[in-house]
Amino acid sequence: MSHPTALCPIIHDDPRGDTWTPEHAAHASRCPHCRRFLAGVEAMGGRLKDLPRYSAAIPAGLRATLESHLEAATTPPSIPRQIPGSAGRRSFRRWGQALIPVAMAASLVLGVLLDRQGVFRSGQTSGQVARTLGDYILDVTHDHYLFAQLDNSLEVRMNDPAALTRWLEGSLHFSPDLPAGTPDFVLEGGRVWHTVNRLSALAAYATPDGNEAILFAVPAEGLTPGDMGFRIVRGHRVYHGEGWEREALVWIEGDLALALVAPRGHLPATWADLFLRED
Amino acid sequence: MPHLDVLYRMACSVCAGGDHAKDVAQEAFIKALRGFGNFTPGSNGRSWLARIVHNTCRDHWRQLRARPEDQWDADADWAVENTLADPDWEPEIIRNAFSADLDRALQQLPPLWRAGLLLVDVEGWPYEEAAASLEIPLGTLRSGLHRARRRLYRLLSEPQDETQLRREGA
Repeated sequence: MSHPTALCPIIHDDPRGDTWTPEHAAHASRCPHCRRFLAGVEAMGGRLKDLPRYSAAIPAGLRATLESHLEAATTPPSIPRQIPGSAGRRSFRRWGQALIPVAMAASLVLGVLLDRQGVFRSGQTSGQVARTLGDYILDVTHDHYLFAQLDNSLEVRMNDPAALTRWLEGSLHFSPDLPAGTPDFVLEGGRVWHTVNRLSALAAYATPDGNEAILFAVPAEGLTPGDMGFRIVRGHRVYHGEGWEREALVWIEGDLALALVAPRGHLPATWADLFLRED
Repeated sequence: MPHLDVLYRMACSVCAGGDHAKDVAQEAFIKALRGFGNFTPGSNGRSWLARIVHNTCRDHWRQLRARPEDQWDADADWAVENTLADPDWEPEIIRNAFSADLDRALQQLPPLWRAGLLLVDVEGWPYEEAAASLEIPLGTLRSGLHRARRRLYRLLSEPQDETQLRREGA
């Protein structure tokens, strides 16, 4: 075993040598303790680089979603204009003049070259990641929390459910059948989102107490109930869970998993009348 | 988008599962878009973005941590690490370690230092940039990384006998 000297700690604190003096460098080259340490650090860096978590590239689906956020901020809202009755992209209107140069600059910082062919589309039609409904409830309640933090749940403002459905269909491989609003649930608009590896359709409804209930729709493939209990409501198994100070009701309709999320205790009691169709 | 990959890896390094990493990356990116007015043109955009990812990761981690006593930058064993003598490194132990053991050891580091190792030892960022991204003083970064490397080495070297036996017995 070699014996550390007073200079060794300096080498160990800065194995890259940024702060070394010639004396440190000379020491590092002849001290067996430091040479083994430096070789070990180099080996460690190499091994860490090979670990999946340290070598992962951002998944294509997520990259496309992130690009779509930039796309939405940097281009005029062409999609809503093609749909009669739409009121245009709220996000564009709200962020409008301030965000366009900001996002353009952001794209420069990020080194983004938007591929406008196929952006905001996904070929992800199968092979959904396996996930329990408990996980899914945490995902959607977190997303609801996130939107509240950002004060921005809408990508497009529309109160016509058919028009909103068509708009969502334009970016998804599935079709959420959105109910029209009621006084308890006033349809405000929607968003295409990415809920943990699944493209999702969101529809936001304002509730009388000033909160927002969001309906999430994602492909149900790969979602398993786990050990969650359920209630039968109008012939549907409805799972209830909480997270991020929010509650979520989840049920399966056809090949979609639907989740209705609202701040805990603020979901109007009439939710089943609107969102659950009789089987 | 080279920065996005690095930032995603940063989220992966801190988050226990890939799904949360995706959530964090998405949330951080939106925050970056919303907060771009705070970015000073001409300053380091990569570091600015990394800081947003770091803060988002920390917020998530605090929400989801298993034990309330765990800290972002230190756990119960972190202080003890400083009292231990420097090991006499044997690079072969690292080279021959199973990846699963290395990953397991990595997960035993406080999250701040997992991110620090990524930025400095894997991505090769300058110390100053990594320190700014993680919002810690330069000296803290250096000493923390030293401690993190040492603990990683210790975790890899301690079970070596058992690993050796497993290999020989196989």
